[in-house]
Amino acid sequence: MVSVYIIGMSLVMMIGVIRRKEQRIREIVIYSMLIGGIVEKESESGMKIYRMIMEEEGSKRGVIGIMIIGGMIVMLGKRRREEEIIIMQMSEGYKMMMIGNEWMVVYMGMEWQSLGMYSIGIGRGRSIKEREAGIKYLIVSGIAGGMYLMGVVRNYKETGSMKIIETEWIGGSKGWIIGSVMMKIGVVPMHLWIREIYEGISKRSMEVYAVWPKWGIGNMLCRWEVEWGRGVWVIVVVGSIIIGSIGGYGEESIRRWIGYSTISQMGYMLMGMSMGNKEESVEYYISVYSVMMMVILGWWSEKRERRMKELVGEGKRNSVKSIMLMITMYSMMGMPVMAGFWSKYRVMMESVRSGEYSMGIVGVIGGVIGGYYYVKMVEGMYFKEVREIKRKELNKREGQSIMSIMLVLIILIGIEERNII
Amino acid sequence: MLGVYEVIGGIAVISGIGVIMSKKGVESVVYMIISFVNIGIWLMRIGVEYVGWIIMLVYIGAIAVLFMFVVMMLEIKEEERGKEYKGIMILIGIGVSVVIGGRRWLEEGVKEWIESKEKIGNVMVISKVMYGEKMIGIMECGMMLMLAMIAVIMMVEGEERKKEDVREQELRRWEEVIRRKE
Repeated sequence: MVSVYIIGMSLVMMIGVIRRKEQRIREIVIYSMLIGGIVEKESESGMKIYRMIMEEEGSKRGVIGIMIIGGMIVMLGKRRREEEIIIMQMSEGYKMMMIGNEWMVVYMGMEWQSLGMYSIGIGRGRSIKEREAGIKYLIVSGIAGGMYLMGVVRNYKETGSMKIIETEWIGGSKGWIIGSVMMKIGVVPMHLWIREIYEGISKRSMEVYAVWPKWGIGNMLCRWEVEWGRGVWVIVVVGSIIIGSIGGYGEESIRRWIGYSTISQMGYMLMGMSMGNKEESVEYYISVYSVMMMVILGWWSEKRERRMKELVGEGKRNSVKSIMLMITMYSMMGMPVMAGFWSKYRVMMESVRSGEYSMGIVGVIGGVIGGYYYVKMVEGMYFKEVREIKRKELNKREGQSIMSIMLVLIILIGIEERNII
Repeated sequence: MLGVYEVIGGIAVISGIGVIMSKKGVESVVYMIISFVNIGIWLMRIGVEYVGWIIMLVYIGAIAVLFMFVVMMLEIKEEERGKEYKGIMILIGIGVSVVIGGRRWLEEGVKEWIESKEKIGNVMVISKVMYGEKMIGIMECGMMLMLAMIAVIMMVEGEERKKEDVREQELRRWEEVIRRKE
């Protein structure tokens, strides 16, 4: 049972804290998250007694992914022990989102993870910018939760059931639900908060914010059979890709650049939503995106630089990591050998197959334009002259192991096109 | 003529407007309490008594008391009203209420909807579902509250306190720490 895991781990954490054996405890948490994610695939019979649960393949993959990502997040570096407990609890909330078969169960999961996200967003609260970003996220997430509830209530009034599978996607009430979920991912038209919040929160919090919600919602969307409103999807996708690629014109700050990149990548992911068989395209895209994002986070967790021009000369200082990052940048752009190419290919094939040629065209053009920014980072690292700025390195974290694992995955997946989980 | 539902709802809406428009802090809270009471009575008349009682308990008994406490403790003085935005605010308010409320006026069959839901307000039905099928839900709610508690503690706590590490102290060599004056 999923909750027993959380209770057990929290108790272990607390006992470890009292007895001051911190490093061991962190290792136990990490490994148990990774292993627990893989083991949970097997324990199906226990889950059938809970009627709140949807039994589908995609949900199990979602749960495994959540646990793996959670384990990686904890592995990325040492953080306060309350934050680690909060991350573990949030993973429980994500699991409820994945597995739930009724709208309110999913809502409960959504609010559960939101609670954790608010507190991690504020973090230590040392500077005003952090607190401001945390409060902004609180407002955005609260509005999204409210919209979700409004959609659920109207949906219930029209169809009379709360189950996700049984509802038909006609009428405008589902628009509220989809709109709220879009707001949480951060695609157009509700994309404005990503740039601001990514700028304000600390790096440790960014590690939680960048991958987890996107994986959760992306996986969940695959199971909602959405067939209405082609026009809405077109606006969302086209807008996201355009804003993500062109909106970041002249961005110097790395965080904001990550924000814009996120917006455009999410736009690509939603391209696969217009037609059936979403599992191939959307789930694949979000898996590959998570892998790439974890590489970037692993690379970035040790750095102190905030602007792109401080990356100058990186190629000589840290040649191994720079090579890894270069490969990841090419993958995000969509270069053929890496996994990023296959994910974009699948998504565009889905959209073309369903007849939305405009999305495909915009996707290609946006990929080329957006690729400029990924290449700019590579160029900054390798091709410019070294300046005399020296900065202190933070303590050695374990970002490097994450990077190596993820990189291997990227290359493997690129060479043989295969699903991850 | 006005039915019961219109009267109760009307008082709730009017006292809601009174919350915003009154100049003193305490008056606002009193209007809010009036609004809550009317909402609770409205819900009980529909037939969902459980929700009505819970609203009275929680909203009035806890939230309104908290508001009153804060307002009286901070001694919020009578404030000057900004005159610049008054017109636009009124227009926006009217617009929003038309959008939200107008839908209800257009839909027919309002009375049947209200009367037909009389059977589900029972406490027994709720408890059958809450502790039967969705038992995990209640337990997970408890875990959610635990997360909220930890989150709040984490946000409020200050810097990490210095802890003594005996092993590090014993292994420290004096030559590294103290420099002899030659």
